Amino acid sequence: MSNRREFIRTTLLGTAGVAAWNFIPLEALAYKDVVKISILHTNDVHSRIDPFPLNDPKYPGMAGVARRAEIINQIRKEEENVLLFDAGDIFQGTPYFNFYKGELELKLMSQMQYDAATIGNHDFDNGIEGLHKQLPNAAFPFICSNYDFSDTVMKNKTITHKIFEKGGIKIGVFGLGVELDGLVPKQLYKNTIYLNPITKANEMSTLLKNELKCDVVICLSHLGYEYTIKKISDRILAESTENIDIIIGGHTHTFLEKPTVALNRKGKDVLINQVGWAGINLGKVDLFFEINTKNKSVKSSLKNISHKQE
Amino acid sequence: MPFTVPVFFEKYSLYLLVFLLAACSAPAKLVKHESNLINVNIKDSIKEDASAKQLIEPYKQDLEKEMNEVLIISETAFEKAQPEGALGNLVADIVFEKGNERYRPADFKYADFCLLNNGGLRVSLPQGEITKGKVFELMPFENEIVILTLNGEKVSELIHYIISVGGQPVSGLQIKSMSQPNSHALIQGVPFDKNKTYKVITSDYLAGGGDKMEFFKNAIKVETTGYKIRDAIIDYLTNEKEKGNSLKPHPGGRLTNEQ
Repeated sequence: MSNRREFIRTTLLGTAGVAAWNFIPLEALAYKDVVKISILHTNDVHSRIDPFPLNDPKYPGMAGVARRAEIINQIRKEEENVLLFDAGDIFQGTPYFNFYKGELELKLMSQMQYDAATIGNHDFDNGIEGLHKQLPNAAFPFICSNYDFSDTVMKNKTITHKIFEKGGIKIGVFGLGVELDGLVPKQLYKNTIYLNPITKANEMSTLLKNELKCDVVICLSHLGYEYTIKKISDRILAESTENIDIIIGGHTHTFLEKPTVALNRKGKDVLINQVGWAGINLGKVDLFFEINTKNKSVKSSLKNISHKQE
Repeated sequence: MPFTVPVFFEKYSLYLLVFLLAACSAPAKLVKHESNLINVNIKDSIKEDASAKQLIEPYKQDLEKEMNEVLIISETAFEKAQPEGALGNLVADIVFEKGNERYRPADFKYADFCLLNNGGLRVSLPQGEITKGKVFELMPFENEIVILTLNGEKVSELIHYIISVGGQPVSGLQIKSMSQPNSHALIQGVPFDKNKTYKVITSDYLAGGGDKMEFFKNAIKVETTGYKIRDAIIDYLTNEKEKGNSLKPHPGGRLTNEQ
């Protein structure tokens, strides 16, 4: 809260200072108060450290952490407010995981300055102890709101939500994991208790938006985009809740060209995005916030400040 | 002398008031979003980040050394085939042998036979050097060996399934007339008895009904070993090499079309 107030004060003083030297019309004042937040995201990277080989039938030469890191570097140079998230299944899929147990994956994510990740079903593949053992290699938090780890080694090692402040905007983030029973052997997840994701999502998003006054609420989800069978998915999550703005998804390895705009139970837009798997793509969702909602002119000038990042 | 603060407030008080009210009463509002999907591809001009590359390099070299380790020399190539193939016979025998080795049955009765699936064998094994990397390619999954206790009826379904799909890798099981839907089978050389229960070794994936193996669902008993199929193969080949052996084809004649 204090940061937010500080931002407003700074903006006011800053704007007033400018206004003192040159007579600037009101819409220009407001123009300054559009804040852009860039959300970068991956999902289901599955230990894909090196690019797919050039003779790969499906993804020749694609993916690779070192190249992704360079893209992220460039974006960080161009954008002021960047957040970088992963929606789970960091582990499993190449011998890097079989041999180093996820150590390199987490070290690289820390080096790329990931802000947070949620936990996928394959992150339990070396057992809950295997995940726990690798946590010191992660310089970012694991956010998971619907796994109760209190009777496991992961007790107090994850957080249920976190608020990021960028450019004076409060970004509330929580995380959801998929049902483990039937997907992960019980001997691996041990006494982890799976809690209903819809119930938790409503609880978390209401807390973040209404009580903690976040300007935007993001859910890192490993539930999966959608199913033909009756199973909770990001589509169902979006329409069953009312305070989520963006769902960064994973699990189903769904390649979305652009985010799906779903409607929540109050008829408001919810963006759902998922960028395939293996780090073949990096998702980038730019959000534009208007600090002073009363100035219509702001909206029309938005186009000028937004630019495409290829 | 430029503005003093009071003069400033006097001149711009209206603007300030509007701005203050708006800023304080309304939260920041999400007014627009744009999205881009950025493909990560060697073909593009994007360089690799030097520090990431530096972090990866020692792991990569270590891994390559590990993966290039020669586990054994093979006298022939092993390939998949139906009704049976050299690769399926080899892997089924390995899983049967190593699975029983790890199995600690409470009733002291070990598994009777093994059933796997051709779909789970991802590449052929070449003649000559078999590297650890090759075994990872053959079995990239983390599937583990399980032992299922099935009643005679389910085993009968299992036999019909093998016939209907034209063969799957087996060990300890023999079906002599794959062309006849009601062909009888031998288990450990003894004719199959529908009134008996049997213990089958398979992977946890198939035990869950994978590859349409519905007969594995609702088994009388499911016992896990925590032993990965890939590890069993690596252990087997390593042991054989230590014994001074090369890899030879395992006997066939399990699933045949004898009249």
